[in-house]
Amino acid sequence: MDKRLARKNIRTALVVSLIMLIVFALTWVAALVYTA
Amino acid sequence: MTHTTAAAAPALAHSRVRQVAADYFTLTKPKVQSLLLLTTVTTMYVAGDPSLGLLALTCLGGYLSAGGAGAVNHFWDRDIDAQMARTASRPVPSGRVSPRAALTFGLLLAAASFALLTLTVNVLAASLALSGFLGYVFVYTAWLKRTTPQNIVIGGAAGAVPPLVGWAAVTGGLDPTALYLFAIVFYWTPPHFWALSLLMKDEYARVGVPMMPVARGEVETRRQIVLYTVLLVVLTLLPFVFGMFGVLYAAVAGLLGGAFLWRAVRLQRSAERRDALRTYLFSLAYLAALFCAMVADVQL
Repeated sequence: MDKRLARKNIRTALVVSLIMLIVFALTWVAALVYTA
Repeated sequence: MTHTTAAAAPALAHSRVRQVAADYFTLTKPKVQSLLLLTTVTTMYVAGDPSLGLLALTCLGGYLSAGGAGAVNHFWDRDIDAQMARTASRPVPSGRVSPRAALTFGLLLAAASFALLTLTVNVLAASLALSGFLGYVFVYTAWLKRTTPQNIVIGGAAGAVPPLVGWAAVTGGLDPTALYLFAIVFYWTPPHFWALSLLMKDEYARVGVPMMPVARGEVETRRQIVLYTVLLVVLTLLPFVFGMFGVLYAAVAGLLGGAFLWRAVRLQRSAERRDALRTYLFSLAYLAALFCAMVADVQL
């Protein structure tokens, strides 16, 4: 197995997971502000 | 002769209307939608006890959003679709729907989804559906698909949004369980799509799309499928460990995970297209069964 590729895939997925968490948090805040 | 022509005219017009309707329906990628909607519906029953009206409106909003993304994807990829046998007969590359019409249709569907969900469900569900649309169109289709083998690893996030829309529709918020459901679909996407891309490697190579089998070869792709499936199986068992779901879910997730892993290992040892197809088809059944198990666990 190409361990570099495996690490890159997993690292990418983790980074995207974090980014998506931020996106969802911002979406949640935007929805909160809109409905307030 | 005149009578025959007069009688045939309405039938011809009817046939054309049906063809146009079928083409616009195809633009929404209905086959892809079915699994997205299943994850939405099952998540709604995990989150609570939604009314049929809420269920229908959320599904319609989700369908419009994902359908809009599909239509824009048809517009954007029309050049490579025309060169691949699997996609050459799609409405845009075949000339039955103009590129501008497909783009307009997609944007209108996305706008209709946002308006519908905002007015009848809630702003959070509408915004999440919109984020899925934007992610699929701009991040996956326009940016990543043709530039990196990590396209699916990253772009899978857009397809993992529907459970969040369903959760937000029922509860009006998001919580760790909802985020976990997102993560499960997100980590399920690479092994699912890589199995499919093994079947279409030659076509992707011809049009220069760097899917994993094209960029790294089939053998390495099969290995990465096994690795990602292990990650997925571990991830699906963690909600039980954290008390989000009970024993029923854990048992089904374990059995399904074991079967998925067995399929992945079998695929790794085989160069047969048949095994790639079986792994791809199993991955579809896997996700559907896993989400149904969540509902059974919560509702029974």
